[in-house]
Amino acid sequence: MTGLLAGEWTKLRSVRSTWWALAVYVLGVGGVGWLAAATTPTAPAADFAVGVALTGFGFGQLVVVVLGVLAAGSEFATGMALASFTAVPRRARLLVAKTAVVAGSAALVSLLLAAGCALAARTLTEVPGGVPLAEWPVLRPLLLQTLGAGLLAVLGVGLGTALRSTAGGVGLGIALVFVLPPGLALAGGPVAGRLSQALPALRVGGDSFLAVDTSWPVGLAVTAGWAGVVWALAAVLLVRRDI
Amino acid sequence: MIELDGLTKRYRARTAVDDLTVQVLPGRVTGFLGPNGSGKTTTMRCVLGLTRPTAGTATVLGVPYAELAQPMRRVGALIDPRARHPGRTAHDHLRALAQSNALSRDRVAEVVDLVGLGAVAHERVRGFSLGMAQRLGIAVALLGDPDVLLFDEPVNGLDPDGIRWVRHLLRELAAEGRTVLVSSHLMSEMQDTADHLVVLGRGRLLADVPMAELLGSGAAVRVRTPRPRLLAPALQRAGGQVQLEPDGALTVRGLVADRIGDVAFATGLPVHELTRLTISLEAAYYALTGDDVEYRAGER
Repeated sequence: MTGLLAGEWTKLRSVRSTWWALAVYVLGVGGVGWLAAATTPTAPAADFAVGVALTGFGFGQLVVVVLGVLAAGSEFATGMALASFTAVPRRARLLVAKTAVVAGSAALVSLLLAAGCALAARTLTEVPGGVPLAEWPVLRPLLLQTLGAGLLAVLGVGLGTALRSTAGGVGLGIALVFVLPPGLALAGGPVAGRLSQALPALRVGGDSFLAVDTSWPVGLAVTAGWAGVVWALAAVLLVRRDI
Repeated sequence: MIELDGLTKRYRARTAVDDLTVQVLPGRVTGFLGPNGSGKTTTMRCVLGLTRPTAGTATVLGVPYAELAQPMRRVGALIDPRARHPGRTAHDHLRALAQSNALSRDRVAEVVDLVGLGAVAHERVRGFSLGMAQRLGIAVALLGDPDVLLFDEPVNGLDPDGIRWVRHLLRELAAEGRTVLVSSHLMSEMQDTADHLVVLGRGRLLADVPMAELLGSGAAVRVRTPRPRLLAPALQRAGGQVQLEPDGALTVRGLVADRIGDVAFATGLPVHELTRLTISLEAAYYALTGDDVEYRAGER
């Protein structure tokens, strides 16, 4: 498995799209976070100040979905899959390795980025009692953000593998996390509201972004459910279909 | 060794490979011939576990390919020169595949030099010509120094130098005792390279023969004599099929040249020319596949 992980890491780091996505993610999330913190001179509580600084993740997570779709879908879109699955005929193992590398990378970058945003809040926003970085109300949104990004990357890898297309995967991914949840929220009504809550909406810390709100454990469970089901479906299709 | 046993692959309406039973043995180059759509690529993909057969089995070194833990160390394959991400450099492409089979970084450098891509190893493969892409694919096949090699149309897009290089490489690999299966539609190329031929037509096995036998089966002897009308019946009595050519020579099938000389001597007839005619692989091939070409240009 070590070799598989190393190989997948080489694949991920050796294409430009990865670095473009990383740049957009870091600059977008970091820039918006810094700007939000800088324009919020005071806040009543530490978790509020941190929540404001994490605003950029609302859009930033889209990049994570796209990264996941590209990493998996490009295998099939380019023909690389022929070489990859000839080298590793145990297809599920390869998918596990790819998912671990992509989701792990996305989670690591998100953790660093979220920590940076919290630092911005601590430096730029005045809160009574300060922003203690090691305490649960501050730590929780950072970890949620990290976990959320990891799950969205899993969802992206699942979509790219199941659809075998970068364009289709990106389209469906963005629809699921960014178009349908707010769309249904705007539509109003109890059914649309429930549906909106049942979709893997982007989340800023504990809050769902532009969608009908849920508590953070429910939101996380919904996202994990989508990522898990889509990924499992992708794995079954991958093992069953011809390359 | 590659073994196919009753290998069959059906798509909805079409049977791509039809009950194919073949053994590809080590130590020689086995040419895999057949018109477009005759099932060569599908067969190779079944061997590599990329395509699941509808019926029958394909094994490599006695086991299904998918059961090999680090298959590149046992089996190398060039299936498609486009099996790469265009945005990756040749070196990174090889490196990622090498890592997946726990092969060293040194081995990547070795195969890069072996296939002559040293100067462009750190360029993105998007800009590669078809010939360079083929070389990269061959490098992938050779990465794990495997005992069994499959090449699907390896000389497509190569220049004459490249073609000669591939021919030499294939012969060398076979001489080292490896199993080499190579498909091509370039007859002349195959004639110079392969020791043994497996010929497909519409997914069916048409021939599984040593090259010499296939070329010899249609062989004839040309005999020139001032008295053809006397020599012809003598040769027929000896068991030959004799045909009188417009230039007065005889074309004899079913008798070897030595025997024809003996017959002529016994009947006291002079012989001015005695030439063994071998047919080209191309002619032998068309004799075999004539009825089995799936895609034929319309007659005008």
